[in-house]
Amino acid sequence: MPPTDPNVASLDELAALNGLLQHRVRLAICVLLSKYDTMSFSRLKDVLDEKDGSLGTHLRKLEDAGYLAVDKTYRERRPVTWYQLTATGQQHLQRHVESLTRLIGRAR
Amino acid sequence: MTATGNLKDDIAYVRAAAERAESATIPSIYVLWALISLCGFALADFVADSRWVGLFWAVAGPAGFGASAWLGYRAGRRTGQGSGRFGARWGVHWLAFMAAAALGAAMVAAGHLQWSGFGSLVVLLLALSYIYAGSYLDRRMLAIGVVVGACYLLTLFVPGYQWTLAGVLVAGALVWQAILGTRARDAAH
Repeated sequence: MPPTDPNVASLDELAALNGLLQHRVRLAICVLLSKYDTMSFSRLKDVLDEKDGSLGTHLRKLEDAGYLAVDKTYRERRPVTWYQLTATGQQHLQRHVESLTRLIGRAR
Repeated sequence: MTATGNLKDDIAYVRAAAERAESATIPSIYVLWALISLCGFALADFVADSRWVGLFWAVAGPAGFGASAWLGYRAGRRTGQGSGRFGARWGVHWLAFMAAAALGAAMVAAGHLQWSGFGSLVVLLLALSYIYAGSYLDRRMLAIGVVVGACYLLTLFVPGYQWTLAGVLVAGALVWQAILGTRARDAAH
């Protein structure tokens, strides 16, 4: 018999959320990269208002999980690191957002 | 705070970041089209043979389209944010306008419209294109669309130098929005 208690159902939805995307900075990075094809490290830093070290840690975690692809180029002799959401990252983001939507819809 | 309360805060944070990332206005493109519009519109008042006006737009339209695409790509590389899909949406939008304007010439060929009326028809199509662009691409286009719509009436009812006046108004609207876009971008940093 399915659970009838909405709190129990919400706990199930919470458990279904992607652990890596539960941090809002990592979620924002993936959402931004799903909207824009590529973003540079400095642009992400500006938009998210994060410090270099903190942002770098979040990006590394997403990169290690295969959610992000990285490309390093030069512009006016200065290195620029570009990030792109991979197909894996896109799939995980989509599932996570669907779970979030269900969870918030249930809480209303 | 509850778990869902935290989630709502997180979503608000993500939404705010997405809004900060929206910097669709590229002032150089507006200035480019201000110059093209000023020359192209005014030409209609100063050349006796209207074929020169058609020739100007046949060259300046696609050339301006290509230059806009390049300026958009360059701005994306400079700001560190590029989107091929976004660029493609702009491209399809303005290609549709150019196709509609080119197909409108068939009305003249079929004898249903004179060249003088065709110019006004293109201005009306342009006003609609700006208003649609303002609705789903960049809000700054809305105000330009209203000005271009007013210029459509101007080309029909004002007796002398109406095209030059229309050119000045359209160019002014474009430059004004370029200035506002630059101010908004500077304020965001």
